[in-house]
Amino acid sequence: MRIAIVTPYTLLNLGLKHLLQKYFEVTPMLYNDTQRMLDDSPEQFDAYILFADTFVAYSDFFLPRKSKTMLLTPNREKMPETVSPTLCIYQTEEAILEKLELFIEQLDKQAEALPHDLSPRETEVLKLVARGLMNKEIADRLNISINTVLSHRKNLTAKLGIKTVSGLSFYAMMNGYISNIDNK
Amino acid sequence: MALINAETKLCDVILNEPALIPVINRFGIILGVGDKSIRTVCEEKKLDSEFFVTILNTFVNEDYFPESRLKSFCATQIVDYLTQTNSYYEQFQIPNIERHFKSLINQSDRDNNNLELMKQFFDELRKELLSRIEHDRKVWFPAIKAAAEARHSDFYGEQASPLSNEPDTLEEKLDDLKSLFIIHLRGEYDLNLCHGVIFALYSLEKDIKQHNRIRNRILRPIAEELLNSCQDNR
Repeated sequence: MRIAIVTPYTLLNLGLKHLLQKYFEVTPMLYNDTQRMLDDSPEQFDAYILFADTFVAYSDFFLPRKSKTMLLTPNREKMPETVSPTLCIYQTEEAILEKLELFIEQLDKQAEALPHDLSPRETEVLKLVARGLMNKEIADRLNISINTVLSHRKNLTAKLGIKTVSGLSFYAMMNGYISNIDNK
Repeated sequence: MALINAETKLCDVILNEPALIPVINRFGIILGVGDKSIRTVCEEKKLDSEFFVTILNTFVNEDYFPESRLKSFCATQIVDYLTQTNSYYEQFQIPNIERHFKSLINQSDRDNNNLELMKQFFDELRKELLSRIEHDRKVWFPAIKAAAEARHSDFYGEQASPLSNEPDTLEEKLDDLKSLFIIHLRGEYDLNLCHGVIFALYSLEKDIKQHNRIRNRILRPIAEELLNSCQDNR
């Protein structure tokens, strides 16, 4: 997961980077200047951490991404309802970590949207891949474009965690999609 | 982990990171290391301490990979090290995984064909690794060494070229095998033996990753350069 940290305070940025790297599966990118982040293909990030004034100044970009944004605040008091989760910069390390943990958990939940079961079409593609057919042959066989085959294969890998053709073949045999005899 | 230097005591390094035990073995150092510094141990064993320390550091720190320093070591030294890692896979890690796998299958539910199929997948991977090792031993490594020593360079120059082999899929297959165990395993099986196989797979994977970094990013360019200089001499 890639998170952009956008504040003018170098030490604050570095501190957040340190915590994120130490405790989370996160690649932080630091920006002192919001415009530079926006020039640096900003859609590449899964989340953003910044002060509320930056959020307001660049609301065109951040408002549609409010669920992926964490707002930094100097206020110790509990903030009134805000659009995004907040993080008080004066808190103890433990309290900051707890807030970050909740934020990351929420981001993971959003990313979790992909269903885990294979669709009937994906199962078809899996069977053919497992039998050793090339993408082109699979496309012809199922009457779909190569690009569609590629996108099914990408989903298979994402859902099963298996990338190689032989890995997919063995998965297919283990689950009875093809019999051993078909394969060899 | 902090970077190791030549004044660090070897025992502290190993106590911190037991995964280095097979690595020091490749340099002819066995346990019972005493409390000497790395520099002293290397002097006694006539090892290049800079090379030794660099290998330990790259092994322990996944992000640490000083390309230009590694390229400054001589090709022979790198080939010797990779030869040692190859024989560690051949003589120790692969037989170890096989032994565990066989007992796992024997001790587990007969109706569970999952494990049998995963073993077949492992066999495929094993064959790929062993044939790469064979090619290294017979063709690629001798060619690089000969070219480096500038003997028979006319003859060997061609073969020192970056492998005729396609880039291999060992790392990806190991990843897939891990996924089959971790995500997709079903049925009844012996827990302890299953853990044994998985831990052995992880340690093989870690070692192969290290080996491949050195192989692809250091030795390959060195070999190419040697080939070019051989051709210039012609």
